[in-house]
Amino acid sequence: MQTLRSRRVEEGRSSRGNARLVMGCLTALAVGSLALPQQALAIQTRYETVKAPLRAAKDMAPVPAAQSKHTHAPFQPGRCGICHVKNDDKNPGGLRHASVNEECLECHEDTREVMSRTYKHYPSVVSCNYCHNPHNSVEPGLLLAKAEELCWECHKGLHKAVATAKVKHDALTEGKRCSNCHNPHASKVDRMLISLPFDLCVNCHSKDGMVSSDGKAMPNSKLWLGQNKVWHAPVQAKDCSACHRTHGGDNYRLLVNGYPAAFYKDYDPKNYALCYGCHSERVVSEPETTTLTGFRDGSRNLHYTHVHRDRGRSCRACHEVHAAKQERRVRDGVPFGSKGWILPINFTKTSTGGTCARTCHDTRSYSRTLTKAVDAHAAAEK
Amino acid sequence: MRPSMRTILLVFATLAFLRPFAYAVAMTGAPIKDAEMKTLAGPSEKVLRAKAKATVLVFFRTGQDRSVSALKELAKCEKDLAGKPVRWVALVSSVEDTEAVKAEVKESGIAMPVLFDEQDAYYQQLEIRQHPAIVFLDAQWRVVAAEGFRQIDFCDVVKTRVRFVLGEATQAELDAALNPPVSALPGQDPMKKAMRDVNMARRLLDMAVYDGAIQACQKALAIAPVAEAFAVMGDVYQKQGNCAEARKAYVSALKIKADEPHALDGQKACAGK
Repeated sequence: MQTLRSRRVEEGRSSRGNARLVMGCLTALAVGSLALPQQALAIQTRYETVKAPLRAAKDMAPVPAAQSKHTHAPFQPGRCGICHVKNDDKNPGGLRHASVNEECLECHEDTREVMSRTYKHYPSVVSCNYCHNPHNSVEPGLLLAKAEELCWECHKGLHKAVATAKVKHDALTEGKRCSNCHNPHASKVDRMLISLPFDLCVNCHSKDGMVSSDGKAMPNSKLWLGQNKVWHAPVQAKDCSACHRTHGGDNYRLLVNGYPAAFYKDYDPKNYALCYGCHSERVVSEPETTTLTGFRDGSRNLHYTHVHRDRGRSCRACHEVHAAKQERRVRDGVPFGSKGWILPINFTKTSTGGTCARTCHDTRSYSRTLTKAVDAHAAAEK
Repeated sequence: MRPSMRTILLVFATLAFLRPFAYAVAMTGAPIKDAEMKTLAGPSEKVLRAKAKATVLVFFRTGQDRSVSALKELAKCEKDLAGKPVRWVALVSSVEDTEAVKAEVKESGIAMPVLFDEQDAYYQQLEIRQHPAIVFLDAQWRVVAAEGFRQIDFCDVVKTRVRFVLGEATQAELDAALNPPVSALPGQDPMKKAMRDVNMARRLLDMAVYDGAIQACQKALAIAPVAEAFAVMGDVYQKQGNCAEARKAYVSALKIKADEPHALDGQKACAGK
């Protein structure tokens, strides 16, 4: 990034035709920027973020014409006066307005509207020059460098996390990259998101045939959620980031914590750290309860029975994670074998419990109203 | 089809579109029961208050990131809504370690009382299955909504829910908090994008760069049919003494926007010329 800008400055310097024009404009722009009060907007993020210093005047140097791919409409001979106090290419003087941003917003009134949103990005409040070259650029949007490079300049901790993540998210490397999800100016949604996480995620995860970075097929989430109306609470809250690390992570499917990818798993709380982020471990670890779960026969905790054992059934054995057709997101069926067979569970809910049809085991019923003394299963086991 | 059958089908169709309530299934519309519990501060206290117009029950547990984050955010919500008739209560299981609870509460900065839910009885009464859970009650102690912790806009949602219960927020405001509109990047709306060139054209007109102003207006019109572009073109022609062309431009502007002020003024200025 620094190298890129330095190179441009060098190239700018070598272009004598532009030099005087440049210096006049740049001094004015830099003065304009510095005239702004440094607004103390809090930067709240889990990753280290630093406030990069304001751009120096030299950073606003126009890219030599031969290399420039994008030119700002006012940057033409005889039109310096659109932004500057003098319409003189060789000595344009200062800006017409007290600040860089006011200068830009005179024409870019749509950006003024954008900047009235609740959540404002610090650099865009301080000066448009943090990211944009007011004259011309190699990059679209007159950006001073590639968009993500500009982001990483301040969001150093996040850059490191993204670079070192074992599981990558294509959203960061394709399309508009950071701007696929974030509005770098201002937003009505926290974290400068363009919309709530769910809406952003489903925007892409709505296709058949998507493949994750490990080559595994990914479901069409939009289709699945449309067909299954009992949604997991974080999905209802449109908070995909409750379970997925959207910038990349170390776990399968970008999960924020451990979760077994397999049907069977020896019980260890660490394996279920993802679920225990919200649900209490006691739901599984207490053999007897009358309060922690409705999946009990009398006080016999059937979560404990199923999960808390060697080769225990993982949560996914009985529950869909995103959505299902039945309450508590009980699955319609369980996967069997390597050919993708689904054996129906035929779970039937009753007023005090339920019944699972013969699949994993013989047909069995449970009832929360049973007491230990008349617990049929306990009796049968004896 | 008989009317009764139609009604039944309509009810089923409506139910199919309703999403089940995930956090507190016991939304029967009946008031929940009050209870007296030990507090972190010492003396026992009732959970509910008769005078409260809204109640926020915050179920949390220790050693859990999401509870810590929720409590910290709720400390802000509490301050923002200070002075309103709202009963805020944090509830934690009686099996939790008191010192751990004290430490987390102190770190979070919440001011609300912290009550120990004996053997999770209250938690069970509301059929909650996860932490944190924020349950909103109305003045009659009926459950009207429940929230988990969400990383985005949590405090906004909580505050709007409380204001909604208090009758201070409309359904539209609540919907906007739960589903904020898309915050598009600048330049996505062609009408607004075209106005950039119109604004530049005005500046060029002020600078007497007439050709440039006309070009900028044409560029704007290539993006979107904005009345203002025709109006500025009219002003440029008028400035150049060409009222015939100016009138045409003003008419074009007024066809798009009948009350475009520059076009109306320009027409008057060119009248009889």
